Amino acid sequence: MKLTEVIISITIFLISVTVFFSCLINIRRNINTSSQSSNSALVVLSIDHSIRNEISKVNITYWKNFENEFSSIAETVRTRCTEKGIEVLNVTPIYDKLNKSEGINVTWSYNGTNYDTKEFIKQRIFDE
Amino acid sequence: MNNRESGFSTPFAMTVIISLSLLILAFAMLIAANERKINSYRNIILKRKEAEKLVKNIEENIQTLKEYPFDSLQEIEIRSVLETEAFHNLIIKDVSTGINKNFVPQKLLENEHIKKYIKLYDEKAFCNYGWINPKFSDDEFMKAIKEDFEKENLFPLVNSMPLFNVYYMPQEFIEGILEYFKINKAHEKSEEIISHISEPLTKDVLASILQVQISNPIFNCLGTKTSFWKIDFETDSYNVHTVFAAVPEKNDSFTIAKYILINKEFSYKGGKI
Repeated sequence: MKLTEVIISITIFLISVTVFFSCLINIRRNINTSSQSSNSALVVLSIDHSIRNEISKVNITYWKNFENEFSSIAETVRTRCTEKGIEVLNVTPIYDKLNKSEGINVTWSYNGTNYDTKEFIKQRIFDE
Repeated sequence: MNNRESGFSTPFAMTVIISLSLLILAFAMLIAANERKINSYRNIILKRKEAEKLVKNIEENIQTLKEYPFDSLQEIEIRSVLETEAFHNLIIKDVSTGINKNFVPQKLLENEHIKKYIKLYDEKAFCNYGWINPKFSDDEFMKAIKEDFEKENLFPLVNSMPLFNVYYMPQEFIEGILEYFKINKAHEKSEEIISHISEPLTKDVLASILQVQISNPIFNCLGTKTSFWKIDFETDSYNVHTVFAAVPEKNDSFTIAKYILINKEFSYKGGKI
């Protein structure tokens, strides 16, 4: 083999290796990002599911005033969620557009992003 | 070298191909597993929406019960009204005919016949639901309720609909209530009511059996309509518990204006996510 051919072969080999490893690093970075997004979506869904489970355990009797009972309910939901490792920012009451249903809105945080989980739990007795 | 023997399959190239394949395979398996779990959560949400829709359908269908002048022990007509959907294990129960621990006046609990009834039936003598009848509640309790809601008019929570459905009252309970309202020959009259239980019992028929006027205060308690129904059913993924309440007309407590949903609970049956 001539010297020039050897040099060209080595150059081509080095270029190939560089291109290959660049692609490999890029692919791995993309894979990491995709898998993190996928895992993140899964965690968000599972946290939402857990919060809805905790809210479903709340029982407000129909003959009690929802607003007056809310502070103790909010504290219970917050404590139960915090015990499960969920970072709860706020627990507020919610009402539907027709003012027929009352419920709980839990604002929570995961990975720097805030989310809301809303669940209606009680029907209003009185016609407004 | 002929064309059939030419090619590019150096160990380096093979190593590269195998490494890349393994990497992509691992990634694909991770994504597939996550995708399955995400689909499971999506499925839970969809199933929940289906269960909510069934509850909505029950709420629409149960309005037909307004037309029935009495809710008798024959629940067939109630089931026929509700069983328009494919429910599993539909259970319908009167949950307001009983002594409501929250609203019962103290005087009733001190009545000897009621005490006897409670001793006989234990926890089954009590119920957790019911409207508040102002003519059958302690004044202090009424005051506390008005303060809690900060309003005077508490309809329909406070209304004059008869508290108990006579069709679901044991004979001992009927007797206790008759004794409480000082109706003569309470035992005999309670037996007579029970003997008529398979027939339509109107307010006039009851008044005739009890030999009282229709305006007698006993009709704050004795009626022929159930005020709170508990309706439980199952879907593929959820156990659903609901309570519906009959709201009477404002000026006629014996006529039902509508049924409203008081309480609903969805519990996920579980399973692998």
